[in-house]
Amino acid sequence: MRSCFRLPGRSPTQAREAFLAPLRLALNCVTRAQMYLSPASPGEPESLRLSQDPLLLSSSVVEGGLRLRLRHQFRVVEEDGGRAQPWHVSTQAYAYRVDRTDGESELLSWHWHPIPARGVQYPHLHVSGAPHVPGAAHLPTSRVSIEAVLRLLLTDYGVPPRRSDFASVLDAAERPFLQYRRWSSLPDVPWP
Amino acid sequence: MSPITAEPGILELSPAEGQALVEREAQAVLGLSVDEFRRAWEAGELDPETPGVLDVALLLPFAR
Repeated sequence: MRSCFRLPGRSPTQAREAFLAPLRLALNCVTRAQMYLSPASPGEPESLRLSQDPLLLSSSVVEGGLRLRLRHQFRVVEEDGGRAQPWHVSTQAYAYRVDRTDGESELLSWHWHPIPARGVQYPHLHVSGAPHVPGAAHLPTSRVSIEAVLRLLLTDYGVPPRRSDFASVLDAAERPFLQYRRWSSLPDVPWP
Repeated sequence: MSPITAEPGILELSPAEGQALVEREAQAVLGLSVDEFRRAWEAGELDPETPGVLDVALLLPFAR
């Protein structure tokens, strides 16, 4: 799979923590749910999801509230070249989905699953229930962060924040993603 | 400094817990065991655009 997000560290543990610490703070803006991690294995794909899955969120915009599912796959890898911080986290794929709670209807779904010869390779968005937008359409997007999805829910979907400073928390949490990502819209990096 | 996985809010699952998590998900979504799902996924028999498939596939590292 292609990688797209690099957070440096002097060790695998440090790189992992540089990725997870801001994300934990960001998620804390909407939930007390834990973040589940797959067993650590440097060099191998690792996954995260929420302990409450789907996560139920109240909303002042969508009657009945929303459900959030997060899937994020990453890898801790060592970069060649004698760098001071050779270890980094590379995002491998993601699926972030927001549903209405009435039934199973999907509302928004951000995907990036660059699996060779299987499906759309670029990051995209599925929108369901919008006039003139086929639910199966792959609307191209830039690389989307979990923080950006949380910001959308908090600011546009009326999800109540758990802390009043959520905007600055999300901005700070997202900053490493913006600083270290290797591409934003179309992946142009070679396969690792 | 303790690892971040030791802090509240982040829980690194054991291999057995991870296996059980993906097993539940694969059974609920597709009626497959995690081993059946992994075999079909790695053989390219499952379409990531099929509802639920990508959700399970991205969890496979839990069931290492």
